[in-house]
Amino acid sequence: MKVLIGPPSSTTPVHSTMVKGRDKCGFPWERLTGEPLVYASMGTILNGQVDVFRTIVAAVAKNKNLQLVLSIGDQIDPKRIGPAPSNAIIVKRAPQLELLKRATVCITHAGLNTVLESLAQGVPQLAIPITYDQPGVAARIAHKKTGVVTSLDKSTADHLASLLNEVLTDPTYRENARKLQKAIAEANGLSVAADLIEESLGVSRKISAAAA
Amino acid sequence: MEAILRPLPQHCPGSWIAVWAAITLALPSKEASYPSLSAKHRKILRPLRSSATSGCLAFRNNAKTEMEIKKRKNIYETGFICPDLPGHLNPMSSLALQLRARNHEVVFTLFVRCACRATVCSWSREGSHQRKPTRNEQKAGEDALQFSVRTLLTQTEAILKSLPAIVEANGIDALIIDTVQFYAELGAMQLGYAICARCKLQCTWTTLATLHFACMAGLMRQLLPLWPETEKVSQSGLTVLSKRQRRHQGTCREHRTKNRLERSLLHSFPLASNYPSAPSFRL
Repeated sequence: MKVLIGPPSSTTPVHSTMVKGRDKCGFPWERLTGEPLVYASMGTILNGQVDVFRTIVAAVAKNKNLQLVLSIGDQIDPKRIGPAPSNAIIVKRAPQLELLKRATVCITHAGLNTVLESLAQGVPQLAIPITYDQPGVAARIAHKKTGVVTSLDKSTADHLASLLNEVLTDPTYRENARKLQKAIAEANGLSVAADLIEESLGVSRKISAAAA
Repeated sequence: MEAILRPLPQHCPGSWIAVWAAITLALPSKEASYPSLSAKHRKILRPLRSSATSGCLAFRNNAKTEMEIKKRKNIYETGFICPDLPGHLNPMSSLALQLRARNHEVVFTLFVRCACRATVCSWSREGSHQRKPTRNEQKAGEDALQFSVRTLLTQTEAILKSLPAIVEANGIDALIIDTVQFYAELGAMQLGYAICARCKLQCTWTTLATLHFACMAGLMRQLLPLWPETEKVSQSGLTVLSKRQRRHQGTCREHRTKNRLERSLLHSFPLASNYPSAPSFRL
């Protein structure tokens, strides 16, 4: 049996507690300037490549009217990325959900978790898939026009800056992201997932409700 | 997210065969692009495998007494197997919360090398035995491949050895396994458990194995002889999987798989077994 349930981290009633349950990581909120925010993360496993981060920083640096928050993970030292431009905040870990709420664009490796969290906030994406299922996720981003997709091989600073500009200037991407945001909210995926698990265990919903 | 609920057939050995054969068959037909395992590497990998040090710890909500649990009805113990990585742990803990809200018991089992205690909800986390994480970002190519295989072997071995005891001790009724630790399904299969795989896209176990094992398959094929108990079933399963592979040949897109493989080798250090543990948190 296969059922689409949407992201478990959607805006379901449990969502607020889920945010509370996440790692508390400090973030220099005072450094946010209010300029359009570009949030960038390449996930938690495939984040060992410095060059990708350097390219992202260089791409956003080309547009001084943007601010970049780059989450690089624990694998590399931020110093290895080089001097951060004035409009960039580089951190090892970031409160992703909170930042996505403020973000204008999300640069992602098209990991499903980040993409779905981004869509749950109605944020369009610039996807740079690397491996695993990421090309498939990125293909869906392109198909639904919730963002743009490029390959790692083509990811130069100029190219990324151009794509970033496209996402920022074309309202279609944000509109489509918001459509999916609505769909995700309506899907109530977390509850459906729990229903499916209970069903597979043979729990009667009526009995379960009574027990609760 | 797409959930695939896949009750296991009673005849579990068949599933074993299928999975292990899938590992060997995940290799694209032309093996020239993969480094073969030299005798030197075998010598290196053999002791590493035999001295597997992965920690396998299960944690449960500690507030319930046995009597309280017995009084409840329709309450099940669900085990989550998940890497200690935020991008994976966050959605899993979210689902765990939802089950907790329905009065089910939830146990998290984090198969990581760091012998640390993790906690979600009211689980307490203790980092008393944490090891200093190894920096692996420099690994690429064959080094990354070997690192991945070593990690996979130690984790799989640890799961197969320790999961039965964890399940028995906690009375786990069902296991929910994160996509990236798909090999933990072997442990569930070993126990004959129903599996609820948290799955991305339209991946069946075969495609999962193909995607995730693609970067390891060449080496894995060489390593299988080191694992006598699996070699036999793997070999006997080849015929079944060959037929299956032929059937799906039209949709295999071998060149794309190969590209992904190369990218994995060049741009990642997958499955970091010494990944540092996340700090404690409470929901």
